[in-house]
Amino acid sequence: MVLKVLFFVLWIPAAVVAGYIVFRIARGETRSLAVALLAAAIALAGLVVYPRTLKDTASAAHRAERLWSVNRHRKNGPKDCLTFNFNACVNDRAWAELRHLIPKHDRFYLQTNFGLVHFWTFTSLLPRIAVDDPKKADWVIWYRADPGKLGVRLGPRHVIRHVYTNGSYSIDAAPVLK
Amino acid sequence: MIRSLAGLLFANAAFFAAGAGVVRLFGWRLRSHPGLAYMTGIGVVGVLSTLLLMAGLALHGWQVLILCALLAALGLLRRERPADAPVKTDRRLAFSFGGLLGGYLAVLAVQSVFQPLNSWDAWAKWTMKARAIVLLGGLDTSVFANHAYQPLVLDYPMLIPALEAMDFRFMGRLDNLVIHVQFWLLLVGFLVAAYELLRDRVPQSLLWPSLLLVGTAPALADNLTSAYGDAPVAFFFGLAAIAAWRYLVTGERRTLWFFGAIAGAAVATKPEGSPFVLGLFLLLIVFSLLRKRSLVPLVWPALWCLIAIVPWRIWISHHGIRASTPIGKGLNPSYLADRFSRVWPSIRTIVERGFDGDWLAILPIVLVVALVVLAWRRRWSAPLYVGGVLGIVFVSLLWAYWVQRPSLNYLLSTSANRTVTSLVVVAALFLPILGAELLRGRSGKAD
Repeated sequence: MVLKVLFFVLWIPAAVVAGYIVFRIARGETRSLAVALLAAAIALAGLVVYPRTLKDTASAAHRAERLWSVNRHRKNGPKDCLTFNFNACVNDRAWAELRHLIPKHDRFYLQTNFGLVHFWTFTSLLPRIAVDDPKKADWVIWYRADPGKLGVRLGPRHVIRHVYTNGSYSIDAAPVLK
Repeated sequence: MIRSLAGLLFANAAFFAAGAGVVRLFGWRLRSHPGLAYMTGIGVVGVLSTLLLMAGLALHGWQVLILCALLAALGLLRRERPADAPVKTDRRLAFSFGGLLGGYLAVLAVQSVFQPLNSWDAWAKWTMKARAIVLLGGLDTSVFANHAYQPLVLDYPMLIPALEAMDFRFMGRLDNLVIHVQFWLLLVGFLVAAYELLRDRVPQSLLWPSLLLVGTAPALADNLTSAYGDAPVAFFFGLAAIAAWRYLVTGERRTLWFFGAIAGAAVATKPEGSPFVLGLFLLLIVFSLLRKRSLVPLVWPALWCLIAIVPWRIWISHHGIRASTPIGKGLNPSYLADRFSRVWPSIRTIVERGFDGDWLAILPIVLVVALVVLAWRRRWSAPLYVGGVLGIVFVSLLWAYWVQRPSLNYLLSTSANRTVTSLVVVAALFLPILGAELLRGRSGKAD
């Protein structure tokens, strides 16, 4: 930690020196004080935060690589972390089961108020097609919702759990009886 | 993963070959302008692939290869022009700044290879559409004209989904991780192309630090690895803006053709690309008239931009897809007056995000230098051009926030930090140009 702080503190004078060198080079190249000052200012603006930028990018790369590595060996199949902070991770297995259950190009109606599950289901179930009317659907899928008032008769219910890696909710599906 | 990466690189090699043929036809030398070739290839193949989708094609690998081969063959129609006068490269700057930029880009490349698709709009909208193209065999109306999918902004132009779909085709799978490398390649192509357009017009001591500044801005990396369309549209529009400026200064026709190709790509990438490019054309017309240049050559780039967007607007209108930005209402004074309360918060947020520390003071430096050039050197042309371009981007963003349907708080909080990318990236590209004006004022050359 101390070394890190020391590095970042020492880097600023190093960036100032680099900025001065750019100033000298620009002065030699253009013979203009104004251009040399501008070149130094631009160089300084980029260089001052360069180590932090590099460190942040390396950390992000490491975190992404770690998730990839965990997913390769994960017992219950990979997890998909769908938010920038990696906090909302869902089990890919849940949607794999839905893909196994619902034939390709069948139409489904999705009932949920939870946006992440809503859109992830659209994306994950392609080429199965979402419809906006349960009467046009071959299947009804629901998550934390009651399909009883949809006005369609449903066949046997399939309960698939768990949707989130850190939660106990299930996603359910049933064929629409025509 | 290696197979996906190889497939993606092969697809991009095909885009590069296509661009190489097109830029050679324009009159550029491939050996000295590979960046222009790559970005032109992406832009032209991207626009044409959108048209192919509307024509019912599925963008299979062989279709893409035939398209790229035909575009590459265009280069045979023209003999390669003689080499331009060599530009002296300052090796001290090239090695130091190029090395720092290269080191950073290498780390960003590693992140791009492993980056999960964890940005909401990427997996729910942009890449989702690419997956739909691959899985449904093209622009299937059961998704792309289906009201259930309306929240996926179905009216957005299709260049990025088409590009990703072509990558997926060559990967042989829907690899949601490696697809981020496409955006990294766009960043590299953008930086190289910007260098090639500017290296003989501005001092190297301004150019290299400016490229490092924009290339390593943390906010740009965040945008890029989110796999949204904001960084690509900023790259395309930024290159179009400096190509237009270069055409005004040099009168080179080859620059004008490049401007047209890349402006078309900006239009076909995101809805805001259209007002950006329309404004840029107006600016180009005004400056051409002031410089007593013929407006006739501008017809061809304008035509290409229309080809890039009009068929798509007709397609979505024909299929009854509701526009996410109500353009008709957006020009209605009473509608605008009713929503006037959205203006000030939008201005404040765009300015705040544009001046955010993660953009490394690019906008403040540009504004100060523009004022210095105007007030001290009394050279109006470049500062007014830059002010015009930045004004176009700013007003376009403001107008979009003013007229769009969703609540303003939601819109600003979810999008303002990325929509300002165009504003800041364009500003950064004009930093060395404005700096060079300081020099020209001193040497007394004509404006």
